[in-house]
Amino acid sequence: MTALIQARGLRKFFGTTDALRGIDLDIQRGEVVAVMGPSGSGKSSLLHCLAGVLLPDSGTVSVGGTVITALSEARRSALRLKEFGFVFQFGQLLPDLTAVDNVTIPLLLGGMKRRQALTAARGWLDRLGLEVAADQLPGELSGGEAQRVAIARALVTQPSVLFADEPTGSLDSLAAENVLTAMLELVRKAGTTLVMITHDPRTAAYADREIIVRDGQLAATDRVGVK
Amino acid sequence: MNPSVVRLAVIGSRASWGRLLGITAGVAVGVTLALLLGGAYQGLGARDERSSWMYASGEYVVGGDTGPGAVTADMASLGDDRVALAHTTDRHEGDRIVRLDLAAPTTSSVTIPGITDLPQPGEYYASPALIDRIAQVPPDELGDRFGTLTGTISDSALASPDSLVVVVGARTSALIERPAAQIVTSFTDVPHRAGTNYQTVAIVGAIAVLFPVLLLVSIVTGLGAVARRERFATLRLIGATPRTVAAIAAVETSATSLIGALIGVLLAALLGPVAALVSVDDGVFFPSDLAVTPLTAATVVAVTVAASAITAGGRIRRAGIGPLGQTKQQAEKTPSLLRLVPLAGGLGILIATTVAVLAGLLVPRVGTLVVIGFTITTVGLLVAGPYLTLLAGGIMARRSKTAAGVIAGNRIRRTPVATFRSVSGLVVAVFMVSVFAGAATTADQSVAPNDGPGLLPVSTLIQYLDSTPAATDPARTEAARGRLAAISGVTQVTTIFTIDSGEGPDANRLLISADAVNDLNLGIVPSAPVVSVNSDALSGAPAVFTPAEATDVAELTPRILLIGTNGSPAAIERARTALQAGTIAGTGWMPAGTRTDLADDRLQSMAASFANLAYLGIGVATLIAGLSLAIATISAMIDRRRMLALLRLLGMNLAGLRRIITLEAAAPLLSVMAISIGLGFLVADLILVGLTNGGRSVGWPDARYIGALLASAVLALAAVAVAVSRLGKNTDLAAIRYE
Ligand SMILES: Nc1ncnc2c1ncn2[C@@H]1O[C@H](COP(=O)(O)OP(=O)(O)OP(=O)(O)O)[C@@H](O)[C@H]1O
Ligand SMILES: [Mg+2]
Repeated sequence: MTALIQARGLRKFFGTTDALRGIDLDIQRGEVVAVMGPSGSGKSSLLHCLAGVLLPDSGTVSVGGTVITALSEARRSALRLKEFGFVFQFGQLLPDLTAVDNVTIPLLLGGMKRRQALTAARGWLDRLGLEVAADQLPGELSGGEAQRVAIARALVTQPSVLFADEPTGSLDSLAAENVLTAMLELVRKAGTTLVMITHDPRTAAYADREIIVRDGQLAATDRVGVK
Repeated sequence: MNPSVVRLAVIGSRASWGRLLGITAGVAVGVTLALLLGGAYQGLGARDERSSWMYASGEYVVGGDTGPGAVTADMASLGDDRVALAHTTDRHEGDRIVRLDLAAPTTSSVTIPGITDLPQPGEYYASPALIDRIAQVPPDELGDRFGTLTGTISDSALASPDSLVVVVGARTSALIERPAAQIVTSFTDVPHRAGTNYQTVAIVGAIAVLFPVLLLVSIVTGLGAVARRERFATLRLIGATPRTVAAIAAVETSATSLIGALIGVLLAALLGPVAALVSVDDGVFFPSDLAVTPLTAATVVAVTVAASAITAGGRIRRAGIGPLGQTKQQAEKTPSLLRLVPLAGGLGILIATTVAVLAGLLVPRVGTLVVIGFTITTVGLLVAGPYLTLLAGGIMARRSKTAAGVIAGNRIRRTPVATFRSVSGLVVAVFMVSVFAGAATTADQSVAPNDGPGLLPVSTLIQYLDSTPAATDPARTEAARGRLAAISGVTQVTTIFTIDSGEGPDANRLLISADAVNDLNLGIVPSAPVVSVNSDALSGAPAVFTPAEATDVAELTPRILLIGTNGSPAAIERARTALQAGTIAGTGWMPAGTRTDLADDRLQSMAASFANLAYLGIGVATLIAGLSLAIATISAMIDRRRMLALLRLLGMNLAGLRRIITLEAAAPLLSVMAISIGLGFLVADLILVGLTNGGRSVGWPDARYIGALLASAVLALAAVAVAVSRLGKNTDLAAIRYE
């Protein structure tokens, strides 16, 4: 079976910084992958390249057989909307919109009717235990609640891949645990592929596979073909 | 204060240099306009004062009669301390000439400002602009009207370099025959004519122009607020007290605005001569009228610097920057319904005044009430703006079907004050232009009389004859008719008669002999030796002829000469000159005029004489407001670029982002602008009806108004387009990091 995401020979420079130095990586459909590594090793750069947010300076990424590194920005946007969800450490909710309106945005972008979108968004917020917070503004939410709203927004389009960059990095351990289990439960149930950067080995332990990035390269055991 | 701390605060990045440059430019524009407007205010006062002598008046002379208050005319000699004066408005090619006919003994001690001696019969003094004009056209079109030029009226006695003024010497015996002759003892202490009115308008105009300028400065000083807040937070983190931070902001801003203000003074000095070319009330300014005294300039600079320092310091302190940098976005206070109160109050005053006037109640100081009502309404519009914006945003947020609409609507709803601020300049400009255009509609309608079959042609001169025996002597009138008919370009001359006493069907009708009336070509004429026609046919109403009771014009009194011309300006001016020059002179004291001329005399309204200034002011205000909108839109976009880039990351395309930014500017603009236009016309109607006792009401605005509206719409669109065109670059995913 071919991998859902295939990265080959990824290189990325920022000025003189060599952020990615030749990465090959396969990720299977439905797999939960934890990405670990020291600060500044290139984890976020890798995630952004896999998701088509950044274009690598050389190398290719294909998702479901489509070479996304060859697509136009507009096509990559459309792909992100349809196939990918994103969760970051913090500050990703639109501050002027209530929680439920925040969650409807990807649906509206996909052309869904407002009424339907609101119903669907409330459903996802309920599933994440946020019934009461639905009509609050992000500024009025706790950190854990805000992260769960972000997860709802990422999953509401039922993407095939969820990219998460330290999704619990700004939370205390109890809140982190709650957010993480809620996210994993939903991801597993839907068969969504999860690529999650984390610094916390306990978090990584929930994953099917851990990969380690060092100096812009994968640690030996994680290289494609070496298993 | 530690200099390295200041350096850290001020010289942060390229963006902060851009910001300082923006403040400098904004302040420079503001100070330039403030000084020019201040100059215009002074200048309008100065020119009224200089030209006030032309409106000298005294007791009327009533030829032969000795009615109450009248001076008897048996005055072979006036004495050395009195002159006889007649004030008339003459015309040349549509421009008005102030003509003073004056009779005084050679030994007179009376003096007129601007001329050395009083003119003797046959002599005249003229303003430079009139002298130029006399030299440029053949004498039989203008120069022959006055006699021999003996001197120039100096600029120190003229309102404007364009003023057409002539002081003509006359014989006492001839002058005191005239109905308008007065006995005047002094030309030097004449009360100002309409000066205060003009200055009131200048003040209202200044507010209308300065408001967008202040807005521009306030928007510009808010530029890059987010980046700045972060930098100040860093300072707080390393130990600066809130007072230090506020002081740094104040120093930084006052230094910048000082430079801006000095540039403004320089620009005002350079632009003064250009601004002087704006024509107000029939004339441009003398450059010296607009010159600003060093004291005024220094005051404006000082006030600007102090005000900007206080605002900047206060704003920083209010922002409550803590050492923890990224403070949570401060929520705006939701505007309440109470914000509609001033607007309702202003409209209430205007409506109450109008209703009271229409009901026939005696309202004291209607003019003042109207100005107060108008001012409160304008301020009320600004106060109400955020509330109306909130409503518009709320509707949009709820009703929108697209992501862009939901995002923009919610943004507007959460920040109505800031959103309205960015469009308020255009809103005020549009409101003002609507009031002005509405109020000016009446004047414009009457200035351009209609022409067509059955109507007296606008190329026909109307000469009213004096009621003196000499002027109404039929033989003399016949002779004048013959001489006028011989002038090249004159097509026919018709005498109009009236009956002497006002009884019977011919009363208040104009009577014409049957032979003459056919030449007029004004439609079907009944066959009768004398026909009568409605008197308002002379002011453009359709002519209706009926047989007259009278049967012979020889029994009637000649009253009016109608001089038909081929319509060329030269022919009209030749006939007009002949009527005043030696050959025919004495037929009438009031110079002949066409229908257009006479309508213009009657309806020369303040709105019309201010059209240039008003449209210029509105133009400047619109430009600055458009600039403000552009800057506000760009800076809102830069401050939120992280959020916008995030939307791109989520899969929104650039078109979607553009739609957000456009909606955020356009939705409040269109909704509040629609209200401004509606309110503007309502207010114009209330003002007109109130001031004219219901005599006039608003009509359709002219092309300039539509032009001004289109211009502001185009400007607003351009402003948004500029912002939007930078969207791609500012939300480049490679440049913004998400963690
Ligand atoms: N937009 C950028 N411009 C310049 N340099 C960048 C940019 N993004 C990343 N880098 C550099 O590339 C390297 C890898 O950065 P990256 O963010 O991928 O690391 P990371 O593993 O995610 O670190 P952390 O765990 O601290 O988030 C770093 O040296 C960083 O400074
Ligand atoms: Mg990272």
